[in-house]
Amino acid sequence: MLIDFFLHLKASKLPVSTKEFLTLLEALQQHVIGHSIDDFYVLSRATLVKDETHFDKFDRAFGEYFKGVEALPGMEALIPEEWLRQAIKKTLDRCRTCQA
Amino acid sequence: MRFTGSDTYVSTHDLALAVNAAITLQRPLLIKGEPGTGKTMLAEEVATTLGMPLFQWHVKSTTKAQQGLYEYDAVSRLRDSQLGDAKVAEIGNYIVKGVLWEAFECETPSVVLIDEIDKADIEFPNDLLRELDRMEFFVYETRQIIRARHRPILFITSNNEKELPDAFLRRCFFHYIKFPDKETMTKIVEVHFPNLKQALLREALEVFFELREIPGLKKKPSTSELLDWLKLLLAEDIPPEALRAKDQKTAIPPLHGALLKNEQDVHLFERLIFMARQNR
Repeated sequence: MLIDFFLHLKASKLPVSTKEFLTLLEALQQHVIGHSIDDFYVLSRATLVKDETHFDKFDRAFGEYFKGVEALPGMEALIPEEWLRQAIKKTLDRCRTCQA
Repeated sequence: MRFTGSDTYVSTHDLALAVNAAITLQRPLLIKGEPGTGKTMLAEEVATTLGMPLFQWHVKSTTKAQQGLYEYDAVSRLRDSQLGDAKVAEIGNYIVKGVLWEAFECETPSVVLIDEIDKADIEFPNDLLRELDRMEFFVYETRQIIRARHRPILFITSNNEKELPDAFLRRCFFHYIKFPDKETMTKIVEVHFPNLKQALLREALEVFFELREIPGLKKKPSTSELLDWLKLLLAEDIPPEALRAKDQKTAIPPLHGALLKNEQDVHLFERLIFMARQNR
């Protein structure tokens, strides 16, 4: 069953490798965690995801697989930080010219 | 061997789990997070909790992987040979052991910290791959193989200044220390300031988290800055009321220099206060 989980992550475009999957299986064999799904989430994230920028993608893929959460449309539109910064700067500059 | 935090270090459950996985499977643990969230302290705390010696390697931009293993001091040897010193005959006298060699030779299991691995150039982690996998290396000058007596527990921290190579990442467990939420932050402050008055703590945390919410700050204040600020507030005996002043003159929190380290950030903050006043 976990092979399907691994393949699902790969299909969700996460850069996971076979070696990391085998490490996860080894960890389960060595009883690093109990039977909690939350602990499994933390362990699989620590073993398979090596960059925090992939965390959101992993969360979605994990949720889809284990809780049958539907993939929400429109979640891919993330507001870039740079845009927000510019927006703030513009607002502040406008205020400054108002005072003058 | 289980780690759950200590008296002086508050650990979240997922961090403890990652640490225990790394210890059980004897693989390195890579830790990233905002500056000031306790990445370096983690290795120290784990070593203290487990009663193991800690070997620290603080990486600089000029550090090479070889330096962690050993260095061959050819210059001293040349100088000694010119002086006619008998030491010259034995090349082993000029091998300076590095951090990993010391850890491998340690009689008891140990903890090794490679701090700020992203400071070195991009090839640095790749140069250590074989050594990390097998916990052994070959000393060319003396033709010895140095093997680890006990596999050390390896902690590696990174400030995210550079991308780390994939081959290196595959071999580690990974944990990202999130910025603590208010509840965890309260625990952290209580560990460092056990007798802090509740009122002052509450007001200070309010101001701190509000400050972090301001968009456009070049450098958000971190945990260590909060602790420094609290120390200053206690030293100057600032009452909790001064932090919550609705009075326009004291809208900026006292001693804010401990929290906002950047001139632009201070100006931004002052401008936002001014804007807020205008809107009333």
